[in-house]
Amino acid sequence: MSIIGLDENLPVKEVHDVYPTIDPKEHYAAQTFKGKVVLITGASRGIGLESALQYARAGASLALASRKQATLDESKNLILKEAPNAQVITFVADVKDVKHAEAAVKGTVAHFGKLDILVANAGKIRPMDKPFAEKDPVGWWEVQEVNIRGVYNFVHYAIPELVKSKGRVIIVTSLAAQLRLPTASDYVVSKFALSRLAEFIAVEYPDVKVFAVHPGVVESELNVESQAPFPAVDPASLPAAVFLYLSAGKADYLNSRYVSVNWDLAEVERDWKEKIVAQNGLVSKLSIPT
Amino acid sequence: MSIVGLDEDLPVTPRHDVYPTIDPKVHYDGQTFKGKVVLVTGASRGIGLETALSYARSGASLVLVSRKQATLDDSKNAIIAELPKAEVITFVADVTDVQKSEEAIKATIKRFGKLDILVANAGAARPMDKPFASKDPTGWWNIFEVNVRGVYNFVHFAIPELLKTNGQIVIVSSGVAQLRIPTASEYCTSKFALNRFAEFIALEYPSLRVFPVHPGVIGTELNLATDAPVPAVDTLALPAATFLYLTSGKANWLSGRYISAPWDLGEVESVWKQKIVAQNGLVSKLSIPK
Repeated sequence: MSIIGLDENLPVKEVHDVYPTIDPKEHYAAQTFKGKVVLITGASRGIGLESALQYARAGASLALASRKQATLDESKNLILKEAPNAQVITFVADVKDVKHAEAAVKGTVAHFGKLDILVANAGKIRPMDKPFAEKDPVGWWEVQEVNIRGVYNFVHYAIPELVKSKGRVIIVTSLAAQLRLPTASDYVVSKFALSRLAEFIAVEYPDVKVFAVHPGVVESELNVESQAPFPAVDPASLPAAVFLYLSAGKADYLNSRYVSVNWDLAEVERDWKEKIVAQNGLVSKLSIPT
Repeated sequence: MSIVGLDEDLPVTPRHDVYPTIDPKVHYDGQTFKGKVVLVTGASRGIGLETALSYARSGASLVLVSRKQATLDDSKNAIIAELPKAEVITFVADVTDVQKSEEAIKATIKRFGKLDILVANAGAARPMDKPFASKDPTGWWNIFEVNVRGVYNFVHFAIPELLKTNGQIVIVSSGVAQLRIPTASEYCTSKFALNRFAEFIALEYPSLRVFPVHPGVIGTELNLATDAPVPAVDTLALPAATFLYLTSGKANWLSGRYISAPWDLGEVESVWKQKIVAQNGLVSKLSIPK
């Protein structure tokens, strides 16, 4: 498939499952996130739910945000089954709604006293079926509202708390950010924009670490809805494990940058870290010919 | 001022006013745009008004779109005073309004029977004064509403008409799309997103030409409102003349690519064209270190 942008990728070994470098078992054993408070949006299913489970197993207290109480309750129950001592609270929130975001963040801090990690995971996609002018213009914008505004809203209210805790933000972006996929303009533009937002978080709030993470192609409801021509070959445990790895401070040289969970991160650190830092790599730049 | 991204620029002769390659006199004398219908958003002042005047001088029929009838009337009168035979209509619309955007295109077709060129110029910026979490989150998103949605809305409804005329789109973007200016996250990120959207217009509608253009730094009301620490050294005539040049068919190879009005476009063509085309330059890419 010859899509423009596929070459905007690190030429490292591709991984499609958890591997030793990022194995969360070490965090489960060490309870790495004990005493840490993690807020996850889109926490009721898919990547969000799996992330919540892994953080909980690793000792974290969880605040789950999603649109329906029923599915949040199911998620909470799942977590408590796995980690009976976990502290879990839920917030019904539509990420597009500023007030919901404010309530969720403030509610988290009111309950737990602080916030350490925000996983801005909630996302939206439309079927990739027609050129944009043949579809609903309101629907195009709604993708921006969920994917950009939804991330911004939670980041906005989380930042003062993350500054206090020297915390972290994981933004779930997508490989699609680099791909000029016809019929996917809404999704691509929204995820593309997120990479620049990540850089601004780092520039304006240097005490906060932020990572724009491509979670792989996971079989989730969002993936099915997209009708995207990409087979779902990655288990949700892969991105979740990478979120823990990054949250644990294992790769702070990647702060503000795009990271793909399909890269072998040991190889990235060994062979690319120096160059990435020296050349300010893994951020988007206007391509000036050489 | 060491802002990240200043180097993402073509090293060509900087221009701050009209120069021979883009001198609009050839279009005024030759009435290059006679019989063409041009719709300009944000047409009541600044770059939009100067652009409308320039197209009118070149023979075009104009549709001026802005939020207030009174200022639109002033603009129309300014054009008619200079060019008594010019065909000019006005339409009151807030570009963020989907329905009004659709109505503006319909009014254009009703009056003129077609649309040849859309100049998506309306934009918004907030003062560049504080880090984003210290400001109003709704105000942050409003900049996206105007700068991205406002462009999207007009492009969406213009496209079916532009397809009939093999038409063109000029998007007034900004050089800040490359700059990580602290306190300007919303403006920079919105313009950054626009440049990727421009690529998609070109990708999904290859019979159209689309030019995302940095107009220069000009002392307009928008510029003054930002309090930006960048001196306004460019004239209004520079972007207006550049738009005429681009839409006169002189630079179709630049369609879909970011263009800066302060670049000497003659030099860009003679020295850089081959490399830009061969390397797919002047679009944003994830920077992979060497």
